Amino acid sequence: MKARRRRVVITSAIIIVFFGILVYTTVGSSFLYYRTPSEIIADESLHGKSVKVSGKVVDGTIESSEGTHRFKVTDGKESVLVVYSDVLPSAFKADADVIVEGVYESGSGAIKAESLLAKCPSKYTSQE
Amino acid sequence: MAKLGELTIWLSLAVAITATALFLYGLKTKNSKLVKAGHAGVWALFVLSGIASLILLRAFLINDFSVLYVFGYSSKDLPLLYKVTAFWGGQEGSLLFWQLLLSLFTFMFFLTGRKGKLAQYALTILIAAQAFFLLLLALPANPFKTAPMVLSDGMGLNPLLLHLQMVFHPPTLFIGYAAFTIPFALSIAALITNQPEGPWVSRCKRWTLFAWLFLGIGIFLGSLWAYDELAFGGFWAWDPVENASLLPWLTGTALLHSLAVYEKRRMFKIWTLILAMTTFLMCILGTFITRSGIIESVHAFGESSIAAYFFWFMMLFTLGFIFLVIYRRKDFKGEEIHSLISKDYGFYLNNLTLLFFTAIVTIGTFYPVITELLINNQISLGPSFYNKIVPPLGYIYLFFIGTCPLLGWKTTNTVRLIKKIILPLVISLVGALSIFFYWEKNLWGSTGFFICIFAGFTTLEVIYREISAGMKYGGNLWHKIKANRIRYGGLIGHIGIVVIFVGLIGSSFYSVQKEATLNKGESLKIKDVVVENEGLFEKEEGVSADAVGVNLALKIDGKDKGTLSPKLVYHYKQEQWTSKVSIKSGVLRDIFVVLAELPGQGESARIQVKLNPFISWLWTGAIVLFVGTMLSFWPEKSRAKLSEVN
Repeated sequence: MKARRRRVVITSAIIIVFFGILVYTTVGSSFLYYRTPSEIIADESLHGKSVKVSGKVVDGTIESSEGTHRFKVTDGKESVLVVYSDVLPSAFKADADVIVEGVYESGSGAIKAESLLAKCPSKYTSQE
Repeated sequence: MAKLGELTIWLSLAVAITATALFLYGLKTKNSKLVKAGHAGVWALFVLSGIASLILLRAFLINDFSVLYVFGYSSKDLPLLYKVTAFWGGQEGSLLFWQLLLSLFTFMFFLTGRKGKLAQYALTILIAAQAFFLLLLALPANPFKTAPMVLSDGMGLNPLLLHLQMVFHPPTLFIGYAAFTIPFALSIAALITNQPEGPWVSRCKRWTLFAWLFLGIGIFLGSLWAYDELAFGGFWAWDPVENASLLPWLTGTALLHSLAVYEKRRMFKIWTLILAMTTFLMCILGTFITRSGIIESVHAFGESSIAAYFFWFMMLFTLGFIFLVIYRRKDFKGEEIHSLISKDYGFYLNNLTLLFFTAIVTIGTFYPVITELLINNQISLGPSFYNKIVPPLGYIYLFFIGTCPLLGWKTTNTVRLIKKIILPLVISLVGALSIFFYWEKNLWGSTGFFICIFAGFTTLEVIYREISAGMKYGGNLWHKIKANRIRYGGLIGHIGIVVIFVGLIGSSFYSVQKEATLNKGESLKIKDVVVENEGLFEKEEGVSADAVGVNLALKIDGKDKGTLSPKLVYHYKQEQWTSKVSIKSGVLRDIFVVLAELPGQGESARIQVKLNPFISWLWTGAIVLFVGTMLSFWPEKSRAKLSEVN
């Protein structure tokens, strides 16, 4: 009985360790630093890193040409420039809440976005 | 009327608390009169929740914008169907809907068997859970809150939600969420009454199957909606809200399988109970995630009033449950696994993988919260995290699906197993290699197809072998399947999962896309597909929206294949553009076209074309999975009749 039990425990441990290693090797390369626009402007250590920013699209800053879109995202205090070269999501408009993921480039001071999500208002009911 | 609604909620809360107390005290003192009185609470709660829901529904139908919830999610020009579905468009309404379902399921549970101490305790838990939802509805999430001033028209429903899938997606999800309360209540009751064995196990399995089926349909409809409406070319973005519905489905899958082993082999007892609790908690957690905004910003945690309720409710139930499990651990000790090459162990590995996957998704979803709390540095994990981890885990899981039906309970004859496994391995290797060399040299993709062919082949072979062996003695094929419906339903479900995997692999590893601005007459070529701009069009879209779009002539290998017309729709009320994609769906691939923007020079249009191989397999596989599940779920009663006839 004991030997059987030991076998089950050992094989489970091996599998869990294998899964663990899998996660460990992936987590580090998938870091996205979640920051507000003000924090990004203030923190130079974020240059060249992947960041995730949420905020409102500033009205009047949206420029589009040849499929590349530039706009500013604000948290009410500071705003940061975002460059995005994919199709804009449906809910995207001025003043919409967006979540941007991408690399914060040191040279241009802009976030080169890889993904852009405009919040779906019904799902994220804001609290009064 | 709103006042009456509010009153009904408070009355229900009083009934729920009283009934819980009557049950607990009556069961403790063995006073059957008190317990009988508690029974009245079961149907009273269902009737009262029904009345409250009807009052809210009426407010939607008569455009009563003095009710803030109606004001927030409806408007005069909203079509009737969407006025009804706006009921669950927001937090308050969806909680009321959840309560309605929970009271209905409690009532159904009551009608299908209330005898015995275990069932009584389960009813107690179910009513206590209702008390929690009613407390939420009475205080922080009151759907009947009225406006202090007169409001002439509502804000309207988000135009993205004006979609047929959105009519059915939320209610099916909520049916799943609410129904998962019953396996949980049965588990607690089994622990309290110390009954490791008994008819409750199969009852628990049926409710799990039911909940799991609806949760699955809900996720399926949500993905279909995202693919059709969100215009990003995919169907799943590892968004916290999506993860919230996936988590209970994963633990529910594990629960379903471990219940099968519990019933058949008297194993995995504590494990099964823990899974029932985890699944229930995941349903609550899902609502917690979607409704509290905790993932968006940790700071919302303190602000959101509903979050604190959920937190304490979860804590209370978890701690109570853990205490009970520790207290009863000796009585619920199950049989041990005998062999590493057995179905028992296969189920165990299946569970382990699923739970690990659940842990990954939970960690991924809560990573920003965890890092903020621990190192005061909010870090989230991007989709790349999931994209790297999910394929290996999924493949391992799929391999288990393929091998498990070949294994025997308790032990397996290794030589026979090897004989059975060689042919499928060779066939899938040939298949995968041809895909690799003749289609595209994609290692992850080909590996995936290798396992898909393997699992599909072994499962089909098992079905064929068993049925043809049975048919030797004559008889009706349908009767054979019906007599063993749980097994065949499961195997058909596995086929569905394999087909889903084909869709997942095809669309994630082999999709290609191109984007270009096309003037009238210009065309874009991607692989063998050519689309040509035939000019713009304008169109009225109902009373509240207008559309502009582009007609694209589709040619494949030079042959005309019709027109694709992606468009942009403008909704006056919300001042919002939504993109309507145009999809040419096929067995081997979807041609997915989005109108990105209209630059405004002549009839030029910027479009994006995406080729999504096998994506329709995803939807087909899901339907096969649901058909299999329904077959397993088909009532046993007719089976008893069948054996009488024979």
